[in-house]
Amino acid sequence: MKVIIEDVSKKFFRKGKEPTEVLSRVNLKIEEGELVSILGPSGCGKSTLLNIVAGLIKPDSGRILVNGRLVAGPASDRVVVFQEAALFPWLSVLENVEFGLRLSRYSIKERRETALKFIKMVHLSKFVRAYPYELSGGMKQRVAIARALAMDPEILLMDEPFGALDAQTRRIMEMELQEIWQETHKTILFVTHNLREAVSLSDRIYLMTARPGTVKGNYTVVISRPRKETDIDLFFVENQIHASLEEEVEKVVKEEMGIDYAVTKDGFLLPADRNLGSDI
Amino acid sequence: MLLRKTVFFCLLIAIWAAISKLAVVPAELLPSPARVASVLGRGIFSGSLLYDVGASLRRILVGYGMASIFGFLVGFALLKNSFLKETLGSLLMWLQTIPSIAYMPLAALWFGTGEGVVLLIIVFAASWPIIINTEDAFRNIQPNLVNAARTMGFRGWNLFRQVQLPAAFPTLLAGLKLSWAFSWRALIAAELLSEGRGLGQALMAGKETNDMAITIAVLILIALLAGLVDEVVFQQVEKRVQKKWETIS
Ligand SMILES: Nc1ncnc2c1ncn2[C@@H]1O[C@H](COP(=O)(O)OP(=O)(O)OP(=O)(O)O)[C@@H](O)[C@H]1O
Ligand SMILES: [Mg+2]
Repeated sequence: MKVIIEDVSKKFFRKGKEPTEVLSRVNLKIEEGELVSILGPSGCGKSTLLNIVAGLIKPDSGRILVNGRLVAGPASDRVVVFQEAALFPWLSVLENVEFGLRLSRYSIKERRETALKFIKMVHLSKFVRAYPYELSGGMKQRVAIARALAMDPEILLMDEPFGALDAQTRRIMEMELQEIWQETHKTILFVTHNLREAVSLSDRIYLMTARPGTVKGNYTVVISRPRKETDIDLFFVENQIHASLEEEVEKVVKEEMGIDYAVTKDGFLLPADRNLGSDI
Repeated sequence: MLLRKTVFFCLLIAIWAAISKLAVVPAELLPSPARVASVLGRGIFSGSLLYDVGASLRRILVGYGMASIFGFLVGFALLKNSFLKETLGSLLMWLQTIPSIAYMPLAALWFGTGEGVVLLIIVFAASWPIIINTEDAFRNIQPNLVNAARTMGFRGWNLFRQVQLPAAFPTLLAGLKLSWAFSWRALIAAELLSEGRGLGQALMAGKETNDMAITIAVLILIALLAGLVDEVVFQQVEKRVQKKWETIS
């Protein structure tokens, strides 16, 4: 087993407020080379969980094992791609992708070659000399992916990496990610609150409950790749998960809207391809 | 850009020349541009004004350098230590509301009227913008920029040098720029009140000999020296930086 998340719990404490219990005994496993999604309503602790795996946040209890080794802090075997690309604005595309290799034993030439290889993989060869401010949102995100891949991590952690992109770009990026995954067979943990996205990308989906987040269900998606948006099988799997996810989203909405919710309920009909919660 | 500036300044000099030609104002009070230019030229070629420039430049470079280092260290300390921030931070806040030249009599009594006092006044005046901007710069770094680097294995000095420092650079630069202007003000004020040679004393020379040509020549020299660095160094770097850094994401 590549990654094991065992009984992870987390509370946040803030001065003068009740502590928020964000994660409650989360258990999940990821196999070598698997692309696993964590799907859940907004605020259920997906990012927190991902940051715990990355080593950026310490859990209150429980532990993370990667290749049998205990996670104690951030390290280059677990690289994160954030929702905002978090590129270094003072570096060119090439320098950004090379950045993580500065600490490696690679020679300058090897660094350059590695970086160029992954820039090519994300189809940005024409932009190696460009700076982040010259790139569109989708391009920035591709650079971030190339930068992460160049580190050759054991696991790639992605926190709603396409969440800030427009629908068209998002589709394209999802297709590209599938291609990259087929090419590299990286182990990927992908966080999203978009059901369609989870289904079209993942081998397996962990569904999380509303806060405090915990694993509600575990779905295996056996649909051949590359998966097209129009694939009827996708709808089938979506429907399997849909009701269960809806329950959790409703909990969030209820909590946020209070009694107003009863009034809106009748008109509350969401299309299948929607964002669950973040923009409520 | 350059053309507009040139035209504007030529026009300004022309108006000045016209006023002094028409003798609306007595020549002792407003000498003609030509006379000021010749005084300036003579001062420079005879070396006496050049000596003053040298003395002032040395003071400002040392003072400004010290202010930069001191300001950076203090700003960083205030950021890292909330106890320091509440105590030393608020003390400095109060002290800086007083123009630094106001410390001159006290400083002169304690340390004499030599070189050290001028430097002290400069450091007092010029470190404040650096303190504020340093604190601000490091506080407002995008957390995910740092987090991204940390997941790539960056820590400690590497993280500071390769991520935090460049990420903070634009705000640090703004502090340095402001501090440069503050330094000049403090320098000239302190030189006016102290004894050693320098541009401040050269200004006074005009008053003592009743020749405003000298004073105006020195004023122009100061503006040129301070402004040139601002325009050539700070504004150029700022332009490049702004374009790149504006989309930190
Ligand atoms: N550092 C923190 N201090 C206090 N509360 C926090 C902190 N980080 C997150 N939280 C809270 O924990 C909860 C879970 O946050 P998290 O970002 O993990 O959710 P998420 O599932 O990623 O949501 P989204 O889909 O909106 O990204 C939220 O209610 C958030 O307000
Ligand atoms: Mg999140």
